[in-house]
Amino acid sequence: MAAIGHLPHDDNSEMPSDDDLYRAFEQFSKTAFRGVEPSPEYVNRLVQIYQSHRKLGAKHTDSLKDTLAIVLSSPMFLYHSEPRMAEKPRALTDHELANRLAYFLWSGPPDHRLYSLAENSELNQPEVLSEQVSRLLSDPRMENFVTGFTYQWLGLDRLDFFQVNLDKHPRFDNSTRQAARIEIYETVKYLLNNNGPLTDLLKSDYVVVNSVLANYYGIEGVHGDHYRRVQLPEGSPRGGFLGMSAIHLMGGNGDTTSPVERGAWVLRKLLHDPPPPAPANVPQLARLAGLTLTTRERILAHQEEPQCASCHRKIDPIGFGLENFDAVGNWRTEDNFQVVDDKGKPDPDKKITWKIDPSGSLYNGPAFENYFELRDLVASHEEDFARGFTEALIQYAIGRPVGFTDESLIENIVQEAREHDFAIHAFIHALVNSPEFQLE
Amino acid sequence: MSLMNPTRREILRSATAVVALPFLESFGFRRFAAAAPPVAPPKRMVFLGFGWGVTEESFFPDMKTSGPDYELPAGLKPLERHKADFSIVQGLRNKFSVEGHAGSTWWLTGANPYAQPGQSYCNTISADQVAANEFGQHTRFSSLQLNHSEQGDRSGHGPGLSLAWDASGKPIGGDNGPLQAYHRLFSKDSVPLEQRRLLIAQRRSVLDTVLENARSLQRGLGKDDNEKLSEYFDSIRNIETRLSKDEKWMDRPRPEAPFAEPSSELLGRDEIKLMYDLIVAGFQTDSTRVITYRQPVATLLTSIGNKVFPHDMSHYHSTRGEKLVCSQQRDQTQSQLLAGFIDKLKITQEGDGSNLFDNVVLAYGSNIRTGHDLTNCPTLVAGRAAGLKLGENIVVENNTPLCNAWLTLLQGVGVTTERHGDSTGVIKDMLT
Repeated sequence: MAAIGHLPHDDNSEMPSDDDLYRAFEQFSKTAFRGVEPSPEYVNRLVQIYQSHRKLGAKHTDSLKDTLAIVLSSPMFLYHSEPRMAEKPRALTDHELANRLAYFLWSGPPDHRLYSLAENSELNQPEVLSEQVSRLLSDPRMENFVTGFTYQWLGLDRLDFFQVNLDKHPRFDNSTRQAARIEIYETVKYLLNNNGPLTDLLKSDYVVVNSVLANYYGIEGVHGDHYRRVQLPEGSPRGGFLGMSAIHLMGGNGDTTSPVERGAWVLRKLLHDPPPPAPANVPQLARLAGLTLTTRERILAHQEEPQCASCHRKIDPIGFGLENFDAVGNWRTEDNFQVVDDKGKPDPDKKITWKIDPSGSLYNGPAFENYFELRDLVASHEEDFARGFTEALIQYAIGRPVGFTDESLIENIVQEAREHDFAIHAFIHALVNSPEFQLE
Repeated sequence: MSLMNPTRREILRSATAVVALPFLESFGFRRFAAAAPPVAPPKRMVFLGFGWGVTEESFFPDMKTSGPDYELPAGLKPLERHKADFSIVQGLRNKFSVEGHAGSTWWLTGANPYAQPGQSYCNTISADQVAANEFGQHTRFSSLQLNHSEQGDRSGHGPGLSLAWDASGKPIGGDNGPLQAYHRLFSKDSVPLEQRRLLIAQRRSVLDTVLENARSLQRGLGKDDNEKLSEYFDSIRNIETRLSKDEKWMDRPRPEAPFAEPSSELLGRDEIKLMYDLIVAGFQTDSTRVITYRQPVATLLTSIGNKVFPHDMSHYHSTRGEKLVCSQQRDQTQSQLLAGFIDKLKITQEGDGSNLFDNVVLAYGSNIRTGHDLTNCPTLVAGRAAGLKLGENIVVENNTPLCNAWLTLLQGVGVTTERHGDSTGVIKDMLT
């Protein structure tokens, strides 16, 4: 806005001179284009358009807004341009580097400090760059990175897919649901603020909650709306993604659990071993409606066909290991099933209750007796988890899919992070220092 | 208009919606001009799409009783009075569609979302746009894209701004809700002609300016980036085309609105009903000859007092109970509304004594059959403009491309095209 500061801000002053307009529009465009100079023809056209608006009787402020709107609709503003002149990749200019860094960690343009470092060609120096990464990470604007990245990395659009059956789960009202959703983001933010280890997301002895969620989880002594670290008692199933209500909500339909969904999510997001996508047009097994079966029996019906079993024997056991969490993430030791007729009326003769059996084994892998052992097994896959996180980070930061040519980049980042016990900042520093981040 | 004899005017007024007097000039209808013979009304196309599929047990007639003597299932019962005038086509599918939450994205295109290497999403031109490319030259709007007024996509349509997709596979925006559509059709332009010309010149100047910027940007971009930028150029070109059209139609007067401006608070069932009235008005005033309507399902449910979430409703299969009831109510209400729409088409008179139903072809359906099943998607066709066999349960070979049906409709109304999407030919069983 400083660019147009010299122009009148009201409609009663004299019309500004062509020179004043030219300089103002040129400066505004250059800022909007993040340091790239607009061509003289472009700026001249802007001046002409402003004039034509005035000629048609429009007021100064309206004409100004309409003209500036054109700058914000121009490709140099809308698109990040990193033109490459030759076949080989080239180093990004300092301005381009500043843009890439700011959009990565703030989802916005560089601030004044970052911009000046770029102007003075200092940003490409490793110590300066490192310092800037740390500064950007400690700025409140990094919250944009937390929300944008976490949502995309973990596939959190699924959180909104289903209505919760409040008759069955009366404690999971909208307020709890909202608090549960925020727990995911706040936990990632906590790690970033404290440079905590990424592996805390697989298993930890604390949670990051507010009073609503603490109450829901049965944790005493937490007051207030803000999220803060709370130490967990011994033997708590909470701590890490697998203890979070919202994660379990995604693995269900708001009414009953879906061990298949949960198993697939763990394989994709934690173990970095995604199952192939489900084939299209798989019908729901309507023939099972009206039968009194346990969840395990019901799901195992999906393994009757060999082409289904080939993936499900890998997916389902993990889901069974998580069955102690109901559809809204409450801990339970037993479950039941009630047959209802077409009108929804329960059939009193057709109800069964069973004690949950969470035992199973990872495919070709160690067996587990209960949830805690499953969690430990998943937590031992720290490098796989780190890889998955790294791939997502690369895609988010550089804005392109990860390919097989990125193998060494991923390897380098994971090893670098390992040397720092998977501290979350280590991943980001390693990525920013990599050639891939700094070259076009 | 002295042409209209009093009894016909009375008939029109007594109908539930007041119908606009047609723009007789645009039909070339000048019966009182001695030398000119009456010209037949033009053919129109309308596509009505909804998400989340149907209740499969009660929507589809028994496949074993194909032909005219089939029993109307419960989901279609409200259409009984029109049984001789519509057909259900069974066995169709878009074989490349795999997204169980997208009832509309690929419905009219049949595209393979993975067709572009390195991308997990893409689309191609929709059937209505193929027609619009030919029919659009004669009308103020090449086509109209009508949408629900809901925020977000709770009605199972999938990505997109309407049912329509352009030749580059980009979504085409439209009018969200009856109020916007009403203004699109009937708002009067009070700005003087000379001023309007200057405004168009000014807009052209804006386009030139951003193009200048785009050309500066273009120097030194790699191939992928150039493709991204060419999308920008395409959108500029689209705006330029619309500007040219605006210019061409600038001095022709706008049609009179047939009824007062609708309330902005209409939702669900009332919204759909009013939108259907607007479709009739749009055709009647020859504002356009190609219309698509991406209908609401979420607000339809709330407007009939049903509290089940639409996505949950679509998964009624194993839980049954209230979800099944909700799904059935949805089918019934949609069928009632469709029956009312067909009523209107039948009573709307055209210049030569025919009615709008004679000159329209209508398709109603979804890319989703039920749940996440995309095979044998629900497809209902009506209207006499395409030479279709009406009043029948038409069962074609399983997995026949849905685009074959679209090709049949397109060729039926006289659009010159040999294929559409993944079509393999016309469906002869659909034609008389």
